[in-house]
Amino acid sequence: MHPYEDLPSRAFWKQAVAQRNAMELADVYVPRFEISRTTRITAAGSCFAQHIGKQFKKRGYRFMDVEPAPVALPEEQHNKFGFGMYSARYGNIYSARQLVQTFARARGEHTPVDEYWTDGERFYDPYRPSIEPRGYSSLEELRIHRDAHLRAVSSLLAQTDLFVFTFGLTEAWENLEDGTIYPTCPGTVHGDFDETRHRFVNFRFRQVLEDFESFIAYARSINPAMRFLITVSPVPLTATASGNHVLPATVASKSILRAVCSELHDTYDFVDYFPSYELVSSHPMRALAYEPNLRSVSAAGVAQVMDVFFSAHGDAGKPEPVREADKAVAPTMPEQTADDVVCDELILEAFGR
Amino acid sequence: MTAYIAGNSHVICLVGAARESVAGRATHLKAKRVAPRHFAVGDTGIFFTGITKDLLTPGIFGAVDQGSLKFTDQRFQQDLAEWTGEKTVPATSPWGLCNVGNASRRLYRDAMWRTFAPTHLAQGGLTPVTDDAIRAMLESDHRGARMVYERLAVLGIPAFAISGPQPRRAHPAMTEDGYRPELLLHLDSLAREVWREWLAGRGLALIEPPAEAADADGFLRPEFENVREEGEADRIHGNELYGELMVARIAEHVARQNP
Repeated sequence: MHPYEDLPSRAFWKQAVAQRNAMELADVYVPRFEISRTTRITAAGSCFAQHIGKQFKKRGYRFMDVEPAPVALPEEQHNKFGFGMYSARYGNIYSARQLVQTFARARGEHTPVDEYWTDGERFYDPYRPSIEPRGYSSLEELRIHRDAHLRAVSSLLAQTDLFVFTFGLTEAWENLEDGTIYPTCPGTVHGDFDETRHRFVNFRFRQVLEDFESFIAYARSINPAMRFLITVSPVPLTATASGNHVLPATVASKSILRAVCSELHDTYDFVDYFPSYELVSSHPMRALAYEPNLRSVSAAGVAQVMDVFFSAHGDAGKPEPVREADKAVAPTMPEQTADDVVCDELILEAFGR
Repeated sequence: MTAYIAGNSHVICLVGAARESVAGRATHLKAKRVAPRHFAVGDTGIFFTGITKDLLTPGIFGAVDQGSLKFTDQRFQQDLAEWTGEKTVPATSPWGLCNVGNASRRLYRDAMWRTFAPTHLAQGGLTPVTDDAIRAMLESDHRGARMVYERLAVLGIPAFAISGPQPRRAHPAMTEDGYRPELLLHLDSLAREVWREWLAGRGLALIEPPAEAADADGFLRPEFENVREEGEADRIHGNELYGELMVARIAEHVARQNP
């Protein structure tokens, strides 16, 4: 007798992976806790997290949105103005540090020294540079919108039972003076890069872990019963500033984030991990879930991943017809795939030689 | 050259002005009657088609055949035959579409303004919305109107736009919905701007109300307000006096375009 004798087939590579269709893996995810349609769900993270949030909404879950779009704004314009992407208009939050700082700003405990970017005519929020595509007409307007946004964010955690976060990147740019993390490198989407004020950071395992643990501590100080669902985005880096080749840089980054997820999952019984990363990017998938650029996740890939998630939660409801949404945007926005996800960092692709 | 006029209820004051002028009661307009619905201002003909909001869809303009514009609506074709003896109109004749697009009453009166406001008006807990987002709402609201012009462009029919009047002080957005005048004026100004820009981008002229029709705040001056003698109070439309100014402008535009 030995411990492997009684293990289920999902524990064996041959039966669970090699002998199965890669797109139909069974029991790859066993939920740690129930998510019901009354669970108040909040989402944040890198652009892949938008898929998760959208699916929760479309399937009738209680997805929180403290900054809903005005009803007269047509739905096809929501993403353009950062509405409906997440539970507030904070845009993509790629790192745990950025997440922590976003909520610290909301409760007035962190005020970045870099308040705005301007091109001389329009004003941009450095921490949500794409939320208004043309920016604001004045600094005063920027402040009014920023303050309203932060007020909304400050109310979010008290209305949350489940916080969903998708870890995206370990690479980021920070302000040298106060350590504030920018969602995009200054000078790419908007703003100007200044090496005396901006610095590249590549978060290490311990930093990411501590940042997220500090977020957990804060969130549970608001709601002690709050639970967390964490994932890693399967979308590779568009570009790396680490000095390494982008492939090993991506693997290093994702490996760190994946390891942090395991650490959090193993440490806290109120943290669940959903393997979207493995379902898209691991080698048994043979890159089937990616678009030809091997970066963007295809509509079919997203649908399959989300099906696994909701099936595991006993929700076999019809998945969102992502193909239709995809078709609608394909002609004008070739880089946006699968349900029109907005990824700020895609701008980096334009700088590749 | 005769221009064919279609549009929503704001056409009524234009027709009324032409009739008043024929009756010798107009101040700013000298029009002659050519036939029912057909008037002449100088050398310019103005024909009020009676094609109103419900009938005015891109589909009504069927096809151009041998220099004539045919209509898909049988009733209108019959009416036209009755008025003119023809079931078509010359494809070279310009079409003036009145107030289809320049105002967005649906948006002005939307309940969303109880929780949202343009940035500079976002006080007292209202959520700010940028003008860019409001413009996106207006563009969506204008989609149907744009399609009519696009259809005419496909058929090669010349067209121009006729603005509705400035908002009135008793506009229902304020008197019924309780919105602030500043909100209505701001939305109206953006709506006109978005519409003007779209038309200009396609080389289409817009006949706008004369500046003197507005008071210092931007509302239609009381002497240009239509007053209904019966039924529900009119809080939207201009009167014949306003119509006179606009018909004169329309005739001037058509004459200038077709010397």
